[in-house]
Amino acid sequence: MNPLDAQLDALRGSRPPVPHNARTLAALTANPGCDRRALLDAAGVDKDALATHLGLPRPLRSSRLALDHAAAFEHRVTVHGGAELVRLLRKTLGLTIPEVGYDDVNSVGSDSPSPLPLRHAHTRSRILSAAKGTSAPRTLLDHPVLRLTVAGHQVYLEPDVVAFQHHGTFHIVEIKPFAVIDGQADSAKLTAAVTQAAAHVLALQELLADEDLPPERVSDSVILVNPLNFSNRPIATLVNARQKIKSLSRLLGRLRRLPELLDRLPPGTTFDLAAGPDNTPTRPHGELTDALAATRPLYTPGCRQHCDLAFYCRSEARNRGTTGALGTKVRDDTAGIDTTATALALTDGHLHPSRDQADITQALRHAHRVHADLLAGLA
Amino acid sequence: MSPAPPQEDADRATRAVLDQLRTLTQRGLVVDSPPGAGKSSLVVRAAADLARTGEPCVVIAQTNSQVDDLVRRLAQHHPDLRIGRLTAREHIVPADLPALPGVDVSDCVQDFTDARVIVGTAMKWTTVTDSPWPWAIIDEAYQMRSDTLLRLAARVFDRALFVGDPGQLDPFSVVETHRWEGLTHNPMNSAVAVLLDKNHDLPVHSLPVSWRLPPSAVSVISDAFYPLNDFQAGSPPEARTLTFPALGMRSHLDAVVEHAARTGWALLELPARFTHRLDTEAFHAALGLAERLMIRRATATCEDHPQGKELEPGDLAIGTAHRDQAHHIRALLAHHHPRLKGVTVDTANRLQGREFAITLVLHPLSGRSDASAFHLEAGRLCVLTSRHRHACIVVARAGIPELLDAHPSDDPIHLGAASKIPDGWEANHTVLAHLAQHTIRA
Amino acid sequence: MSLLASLLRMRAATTGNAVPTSQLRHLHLSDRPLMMLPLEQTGPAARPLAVMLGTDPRHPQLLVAPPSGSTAPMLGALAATVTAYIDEHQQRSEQIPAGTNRPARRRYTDAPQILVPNPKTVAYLDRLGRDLRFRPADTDIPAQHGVPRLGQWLTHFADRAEIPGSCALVPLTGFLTMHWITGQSPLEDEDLALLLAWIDPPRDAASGRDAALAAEHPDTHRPAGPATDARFDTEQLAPLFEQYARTTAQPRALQDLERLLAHYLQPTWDLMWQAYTLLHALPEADSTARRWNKERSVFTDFSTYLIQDGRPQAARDQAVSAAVGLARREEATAAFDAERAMDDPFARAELRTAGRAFAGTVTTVDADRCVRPKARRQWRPMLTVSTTDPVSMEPGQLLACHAHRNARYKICDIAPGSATTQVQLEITAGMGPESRPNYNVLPDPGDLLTFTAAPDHYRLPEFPPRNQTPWTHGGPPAEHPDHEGEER
Ligand code: SF4
Repeated sequence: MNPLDAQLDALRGSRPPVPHNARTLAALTANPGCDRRALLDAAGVDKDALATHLGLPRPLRSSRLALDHAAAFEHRVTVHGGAELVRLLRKTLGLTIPEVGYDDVNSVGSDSPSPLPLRHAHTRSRILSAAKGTSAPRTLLDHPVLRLTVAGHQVYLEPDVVAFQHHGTFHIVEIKPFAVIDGQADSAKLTAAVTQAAAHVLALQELLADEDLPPERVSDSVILVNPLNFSNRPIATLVNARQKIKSLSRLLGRLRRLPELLDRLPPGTTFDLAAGPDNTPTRPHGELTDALAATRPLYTPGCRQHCDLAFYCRSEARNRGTTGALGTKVRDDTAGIDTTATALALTDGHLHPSRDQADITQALRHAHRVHADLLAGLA
Repeated sequence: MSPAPPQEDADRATRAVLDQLRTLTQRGLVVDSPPGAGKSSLVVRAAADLARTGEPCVVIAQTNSQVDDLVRRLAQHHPDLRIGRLTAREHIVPADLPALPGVDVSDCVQDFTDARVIVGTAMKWTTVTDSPWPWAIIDEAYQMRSDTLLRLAARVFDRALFVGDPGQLDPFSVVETHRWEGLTHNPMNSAVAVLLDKNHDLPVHSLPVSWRLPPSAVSVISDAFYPLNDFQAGSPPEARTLTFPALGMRSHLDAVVEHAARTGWALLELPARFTHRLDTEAFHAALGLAERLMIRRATATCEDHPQGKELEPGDLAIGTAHRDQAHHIRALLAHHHPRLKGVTVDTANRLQGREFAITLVLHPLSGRSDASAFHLEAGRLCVLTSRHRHACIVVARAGIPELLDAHPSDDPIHLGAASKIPDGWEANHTVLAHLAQHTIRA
Repeated sequence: MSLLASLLRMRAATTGNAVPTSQLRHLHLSDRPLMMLPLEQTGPAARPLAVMLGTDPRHPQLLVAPPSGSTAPMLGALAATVTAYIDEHQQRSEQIPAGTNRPARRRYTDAPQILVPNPKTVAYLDRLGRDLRFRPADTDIPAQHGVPRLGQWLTHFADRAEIPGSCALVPLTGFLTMHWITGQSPLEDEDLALLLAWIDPPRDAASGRDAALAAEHPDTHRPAGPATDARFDTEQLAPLFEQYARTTAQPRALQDLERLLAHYLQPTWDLMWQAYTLLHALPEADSTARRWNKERSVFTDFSTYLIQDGRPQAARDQAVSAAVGLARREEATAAFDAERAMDDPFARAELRTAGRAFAGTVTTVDADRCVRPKARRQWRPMLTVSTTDPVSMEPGQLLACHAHRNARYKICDIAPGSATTQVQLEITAGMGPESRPNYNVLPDPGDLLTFTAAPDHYRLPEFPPRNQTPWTHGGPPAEHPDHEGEER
C-alpha cells in the first residue's frame, strides 16, 4: 500500500470505501474548488452516512420510482441482445453495423465475492481484442467495467453504458431515462449525462493507452439514448463531449494536489464513524465536526444539488456569515469581503476599510444612502 | 512546408474569393477573416467588382462608423464609382463624407439614382422596402444577429458575400430563454452560424494573413481563438520593433514595458485579491504603464513607418470587460494623467474592429471570485488581445489559473447546439499558458 | 439584481427578517385567479400525477391520475375546469377604437390569470401543453374532447410567462421576490414554503429565519412541485403504486392515492393563497393598467385564433416565428424596465446603485435657452443638477425623469467635485409644440429629481411572412409544422 492510500484509509476509518462511479466523478466537476469534498471523496468517506449521523437532513436521495423507470427503459433498449439499440445506432446515426455481437459483462463473475476485478479483466480483454482486430467484431459491450486513475489510485467505474467499436473507433453510449422532447432535453440532466460519459471516455482512453494503443480511437462524441417525446420509444443523439472530457481530465489531474491537502490536516484527523457492534455510528459529533472544520469548504447554495453535506456546510457558512451562503450575486458584489458582518460594519461605518476594501466600501455606503433616501421618501 | 510569402498568400486568397464570386453557383459565399487580415480591403474590392458587372451593389455594415469607414475607402480606391451613403434620418454623418468625390448622402434609397454602391447599416437596410438588389456584401457578419439577417435577406438582396471575423464577440440579447437552443435558425445566434447551418453547400474561404498582428502574436492568437483557420503574420519580426529613446527608472512598470517591447507580450501580475469589477489598483497600474510608454517616448517601426514613429496617446488603447471599468479608468485618466489625453479606453465590445499600436488589457477574469460565461467568453479575450500592431500588455490579479480550475465550464449543454469552438475556458487556458512566460510581478 | 438588492439581502440575513423592496405591484392581480398546483409523476415525461386547482381557497378541486394506464379521464376533467374558467372571461367585450396601425376591434373586458407556485411549474405546464396539443381530438369520449384544446391554452400561457410584465401565468415565488428580499439565497427563494416563511412568518416564530428553518424540516416540508420528493416517492407512492398494480380493487387504491395526495398538496395550496393575499394588498403601479390592457388584447387575439384557425402551435418555432418571438420579448423587456423605472422609486434606487441613474437637486435652470442646429430656432432649456451619486455616464447620454415621463434630457457636461458632481442637462424632448410650449417640463431650482438612462427607442420590427422565409434561413418551411411523432 502506498503512503497516500494509507493516509486516505486513515481518514476514512474502518468502513470500506464508497466506490467512485461516473456520477460521483461528475459531481466533482460541480464544485471543484471545494477541498473538503475533494478529500472526503478521495478517501471514499460515506458522506451520506456522515450527514445522517450528524442528524442533518439529507438532501440527496434517489426515488424508487425514478430508479424503476430508468431500469425499465434501459431494459427496453438492451433486451434481446441489444436489438433495439443496434437498430437505433444503424438508423438514427447512419452507421452501418454489419455483424453485431452483444456481450453483457454483468453476467461475468456474478457469484464471485468481488466481481469487479473479474469484470474489468473481461472488459479489458474484449476491448483489446476488438481494438487489435484479433476477435470477431464484437461491437456491443454492455455494462463494461472500466478503471480510471483518480488522484493517483485506480477506481472501478461500473457504467450503465455500452461501448461499441465501429470502423476502429470506440463510442460510449449512455442510456438515460429523461426525455428528449422535440430535440431538447433538460439542460441540467443533459450536462450531468455528458459529464458522466466523459468519465467513461477517459477510462476507455486510459485502457487503450496502457496497451500503447492510440487513445484517439475513443470518439469524443458520445451517444445518448433517451425516451423520445412523451413515449418510451428510444431515440439516439450524438453529442460532442470534447469540452467536458477536457475539463474533467484537467480536474482529475488537479486532484494530484491531494497530498498537499492531506498534509495540511492536523495529525490524527479522521472521519471514522466508529460503527458499534450493531453498525450504528458511535463517534461523538464534536469530534466529527472538528475534523470537518479542519477541511476548507467552498459552500454555494448549489451544493444542495450535488453534495450530501450541503446542510452541514450551509449552517456552517451561515454561522460564519459567509457571503457566498447568500448566493453568487452577493458574493460577487462584496468581492474581497468574507462575511456579511464585515460588509455591514463597513457599510455602517463601524469598521474602517483597509486599502483593499476602499472601493467596495464606497459602493456599499452609497447603496445604503440610496436606500435611506428611499425610506425617507426622497428622490 | 513553410507558407508562401504573405503578400502572395493573401493575394491568392483574395483572387480566389473574387473569382468564385463571379462564377458563383450558390447564393452566398462566406469569408472568415482573422484580426487585421484586410477584411475591409476585400469588401471594397468585391463591391467595386460587383458594381462593374452592371447592377448596383449593396454593402451592409453593423455600425455607423464602420459604414463611414467603408465609404471613405471606397471613394479613395475607386474615385470613379458613384457611392450612396444611406443613413438614418436622425444620424448626422461626419462632415468629410459628403465632400468626397462621387459620394451622395441620403436617408432615402430612391435618391441614389446612379449610385453603383450603396452603403448603410444593417438597421437602416431593414427599413428599406424596395425590390431586392442582386448582390449584397455583409461586413462584420459574425456580429450580426440571425434575426436581422432574416429581415435583410427577405427584402434587400438575392445573393450575398458574408465577410467577418469568427473570433469576435457573439451578438447579444437581453432576453434569457432556452426556447430556441439547438435550432439551426436560433435567432440569437450569429447570422453566419445560421446561414451555414441552413446552407451546407456555401463555400467558405478564409484570409490567411494578419497584417495587423505582429509575428509575436500570431501563433498564440491563432491557437487560442482560431483553431480551425491557420494564418500567418504579414510582417517579418524585424519589421516590427518597439524601442524607448528615453531611459527608464528600473521600476517594475519599466520592466513590464521593456519586456513587452522585446517580446510583444507582458503580463503585469498584481497580488491575488477578489476585487469584483472596480479594482482601482489595477486601473492605476494600466494607466501607469501607459504613462511609462509615453514618458519613455515609445517608438515603433513597422511597414508603414520603417524609420520609426514616436507613439502618441491615440496609438494606445486600454481595454476592459465592463463599461463601468472603462468609465472609471477614463475618469482617472482625465484627473491624473493629462499626458494620456487621447488614449482610447473602452470595452471589448466597442474595441471590435479597431487597431492600435499597443493595447493595455485588464484581464476579464482579474480579481473575480467566479468565472461566469460572460467573463469566460472566448470572443471577449480575443478582441482584447488582438487589437495591437506591436505589443499587448495584460494587467491581472494573480490566481486566474486557480479560478479557471474551480470553474471548469459554465456552458450548459443543449442538444443540437453546435459546441463553441473555441470554448472560452480552453481559450483562456491557452492564453494564460502563453502569458505565464511573460509574467512580471508587481 | 443590484448592489442595493445585495445589501438588503445581507441586512435580511442579519436581522432574520425579509426586507420589503418595491411597494408597488407591477403585475395585475385578478380578483379571481385560477390557482393551479400540479404534480408530475416521477419518471415518464410530463405524465401528470395530480393537480389541485380552483378559484376558491377553501374548496380546491383535486384531480388524480392513476399510476399506470390512461390519464385521459383525468386530463378531460382538467380541461373542463380550465376551459370553463377561460370561458368566464370571454363573456363581455368592449370596443377599442382604431389606433395608428390597428383597425378598430373588440377586446374582452377581462382575462384569465393562472397562478402557480414556482418557475418549474411553468416549465412543466409548457411540457404538458406540448404533449396535449398534439393528441388526437377524435376520441369517442366527449369528456375528453377538450384535451388538445387545453394543450393549446397551456402552451399559450407558458409562452406568455416568458414575456416580462405579462400576468397571464405567474409563478408566485417570482412574484413575491419582486417585493421582498430574504436573508437566504435566490435558489432557496424558489421554494415557496421557505420564501413565505421569511416574508410572512407564522406569529409564533421568532423570526423569518427561524420559520424557514422549521419549514425546511424534512418531516413536514412539502416541495411545491411539480416534482415529488424522492423520499415521498420511495416511502409512500411506490408502495401505493405497487398495490394499485396488483389489486383488482383499483378504485379503492385510487382513493388511497387521492387521500395521500390531498394531504401532500394541502399545505402548499394554503401557502399559495397566503402569497396571493400578501400581493393583493400592494397598490398597483401606474403602468400596470396598460400592461393589463395588452394582456387582454393578447387573450382576445388568441381566442380569435382558436376559433378561426385553431391548429396547434408548432412543436418548435420556425425561423420567422422564432425571430418574431425574440423581438416581442425584447420589446416587452425594454418597455417593462422603462415603465418600472418611471413608476417605482425602488426601481430607480436600484438603478442608482447600478450606475444607470443618479438623483440630485436642481441648482440652476436656464429656461429661455434656444439653439439653432439648422435654420429654425429651437427651445432647448438647460439645467444643472447637483448630485452626490457617482455619475458613471458619458456626455451625450439621453436621460428620462419620473417627474415628466415624456421629457428627455441630454447630458452636456459632467463636472465631478470633491463631494458632489454637477451635471449639466439640456432638455431635448417633452417641451410641447412650438406654438404651445409646455412650461411644466421645467423644474424649479431646489427640486429633487432622479434621472435614469433613457430607454432605447424600440419599435417592433417587421418580419417576412412564413412562406417568404429567405434562403439564408432555409427557405419557407413545410406547410404544417406538426410534431414529428416518429423518429426523425
Ligand atoms: S456541501 Fe460542503 S463539502 Fe459538499 S461541495 Fe459544498 S462545501 Fe463542499
